[in-house]
Amino acid sequence: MLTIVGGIYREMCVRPQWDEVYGSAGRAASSIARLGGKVDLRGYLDTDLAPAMQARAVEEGFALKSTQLPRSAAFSYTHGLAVPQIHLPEQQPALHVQGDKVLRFGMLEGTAVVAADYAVYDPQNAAGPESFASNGSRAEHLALVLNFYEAVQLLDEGRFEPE
Amino acid sequence: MSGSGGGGYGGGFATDEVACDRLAFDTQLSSPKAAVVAQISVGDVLTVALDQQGAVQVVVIKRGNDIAGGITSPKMARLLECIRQGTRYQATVTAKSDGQVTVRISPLR
Repeated sequence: MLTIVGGIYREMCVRPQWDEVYGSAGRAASSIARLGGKVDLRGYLDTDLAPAMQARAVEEGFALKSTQLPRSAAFSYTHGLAVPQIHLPEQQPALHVQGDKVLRFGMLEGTAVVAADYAVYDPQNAAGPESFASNGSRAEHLALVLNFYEAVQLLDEGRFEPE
Repeated sequence: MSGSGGGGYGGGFATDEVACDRLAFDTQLSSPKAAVVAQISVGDVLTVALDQQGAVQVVVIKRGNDIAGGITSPKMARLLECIRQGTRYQATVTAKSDGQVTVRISPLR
């Protein structure tokens, strides 16, 4: 069983027309479940989006434990390569997740405190990534998924150049 | 689509408080059933129904008595509410590409 914690957001696009509930964690759970993996998805959902994600969880065979918040985040695009308008959610208390294998994504709503044997962490924040351990998370084995800007900031090394 | 990498920020967010008899939207069939989808063509009018799966009530799209797939649109909460209140809907197939089927959900007149 892989526990996934992170953002579950509404995604809207004018062209091509798209209006779905995914976000990083939702998309990961859906993808892994469709490939046959066992998934336990954790995240925040508002009452409007919860039925859609519950339906997807039932149809695709993954577990969903959501925590309610007033309004979920939404990303609105005019086209697939556009810079999105992001509808920010209110900040929420940290989620706490314990599992043998945990995939953690950074979230707009707050943070997730992870205790795992194996963890993979993608901060999903090029502007100010949070380090894995800064919120009290711990893992015996940790892999980071970073873009260049996130790596530079987490290394605190402004002159870092990719080879 | 969502993910890291900038973007504009806004605090507002429009809700989907559309009257039941005016609730119409385009969406994809989720978890399409290959055997049923193979018999579906653009222009077909399918049935929109509720299905109880364990503790969760979901919306399914049916061709006759066969489930073609479900829907997982963000507008599903409102759709569920309207169906429970008695409004009936249909799903018109507007596009089909291999297993990907786009339908327009609209109220029965």
